[in-house]
Amino acid sequence: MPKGLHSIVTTSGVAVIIIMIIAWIILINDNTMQTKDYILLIQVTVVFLTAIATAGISIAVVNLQQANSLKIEDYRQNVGMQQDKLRADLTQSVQESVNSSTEQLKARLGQLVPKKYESYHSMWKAATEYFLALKKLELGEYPESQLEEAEKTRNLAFGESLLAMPEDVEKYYTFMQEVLFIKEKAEDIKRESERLKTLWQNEGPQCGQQYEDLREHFYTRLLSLD
Amino acid sequence: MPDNQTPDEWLRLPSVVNNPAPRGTGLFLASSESGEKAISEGIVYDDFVGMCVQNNYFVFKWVPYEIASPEEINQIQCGGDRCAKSCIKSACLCNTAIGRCR
Repeated sequence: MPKGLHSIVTTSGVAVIIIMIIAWIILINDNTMQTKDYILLIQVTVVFLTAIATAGISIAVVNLQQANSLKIEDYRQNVGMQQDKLRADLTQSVQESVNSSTEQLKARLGQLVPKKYESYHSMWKAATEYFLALKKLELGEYPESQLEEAEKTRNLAFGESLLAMPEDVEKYYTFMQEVLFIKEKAEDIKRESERLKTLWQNEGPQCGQQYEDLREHFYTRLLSLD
Repeated sequence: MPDNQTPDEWLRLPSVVNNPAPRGTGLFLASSESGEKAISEGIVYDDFVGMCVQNNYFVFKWVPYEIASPEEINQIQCGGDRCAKSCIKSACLCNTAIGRCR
């Protein structure tokens, strides 16, 4: 039983007992009241006090309910505040994590994308150097030093092709194999100008077409990297 | 006489020059009619050349580990591109009889 209710009941009980004793002492001992009237007085007193106690209890219960409502409201507010704080902390934490990941991703992309471009540019540069060197064949010249340089560039491009798409590297290999074929054929007749011209007349158109195909392929790929 | 298609620059690699018995992967076509190349793994260059000469293989190539591991060699597709004397891809031999990489 709550403390307020307990005190009302106790007080009412004590009041009844005190009234009974005082009435007994004053009224019965002085012979001013008969026993049956005394009992009636006590009954009326008990009913009166019971009514007062009931009213008091009702008021106490109402007060208690109000106090509980206030406490519940406090709890709700506290829980709400805690939830808001947790939500805010979580949001901040997630945002920081996302920001950090985004920055890392940007940094990685910032490194990878240029490297991918470099791979394609290296391969294209090597293909172009080699093709332009071979075009000297149509003049009846074997450009030995130019081809040696082109082979160095070709080998560098192989090393830098790591980030390019495998099918693109394969296309590059195919083109470089084709120009190597022409170069090795030319090497055997490098002092025979007319035969060099004939070799280029026979092989040049197909080689030129492959060169253009490679340019188109790399161009398309580089656009798709943006 | 067997055709040694090992590029000279591979034999000048420090890992090859500084090693008295450098190991690598040997590739060879026993004859001009051989459809597929044969592979000899983990073999010393001099031993491989000796074997190819002794058996009079048609063409051969020795690939040091620094250039390509045996696993890489197994994955490389040669595709039958045209060739005159050599092939660009490390794992491919030029079958000079038909002018195709194998």
